[in-house]
Amino acid sequence: MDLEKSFRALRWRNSAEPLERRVLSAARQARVEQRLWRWTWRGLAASVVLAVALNASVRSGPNPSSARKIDAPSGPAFEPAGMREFRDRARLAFSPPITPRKLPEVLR
Amino acid sequence: MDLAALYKEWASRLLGYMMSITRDRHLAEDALQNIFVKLATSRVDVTNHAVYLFRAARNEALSLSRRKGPRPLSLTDILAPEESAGSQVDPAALTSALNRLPEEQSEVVILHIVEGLSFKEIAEITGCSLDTAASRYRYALEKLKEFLRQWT
Repeated sequence: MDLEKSFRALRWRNSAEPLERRVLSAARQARVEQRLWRWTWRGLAASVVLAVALNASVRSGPNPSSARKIDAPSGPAFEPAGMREFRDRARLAFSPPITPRKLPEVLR
Repeated sequence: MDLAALYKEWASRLLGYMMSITRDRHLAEDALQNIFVKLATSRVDVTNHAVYLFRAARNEALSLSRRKGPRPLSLTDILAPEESAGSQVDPAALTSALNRLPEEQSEVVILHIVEGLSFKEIAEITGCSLDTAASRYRYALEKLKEFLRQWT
């Protein structure tokens, strides 16, 4: 008795042909949905990158010191104590010497 | 990946194989659809279609059949001999004997004899070693001979 030969004659009873349309339709739909999701995520990622880049360029803009002014308060009201006196002394010390004016010939 | 061509070549074989695992036609049909959905959405470059597809079929069928209890079909409902084959053995006896084997042994017999896969391919599909696949087949043949001897 050739057992293997006997078993080799066995075939599957059921065909997958009746399911073909349903299975392939589901597969193609899944593929389309996957591509849609992929492009949606790419679009979202691109818009985030663009938003970050735009924000960075606005902050660094034409007047960079304005960002510092916004961040740190400044002006006479916020000067450390004694700074005004120091500034006045420095102005006097480094100002040019006073040269006496020559009297006009008439008055000499 | 040409899904329609793959379907025409492999779907009936995969369906039969999955029915032999799930013993439920509806579960096997669902598993078949899941496989083709995964094929459509994956970017895998398949070199050996037989191993890839049968392994996917096995995993899908086992996954679905774990969730459900009853198993209405026997291998007699799933397999039948070709009419022109002129088998020496009564067809009912063949499938009955196969049905009496432990599942891992009947699986190896089906994949090797019915599907014509090598033991190396069967080992890759079932996740066992080459020696294990070969020894399961050997034990299965011994048991089948004994069952069929009892039948005659």
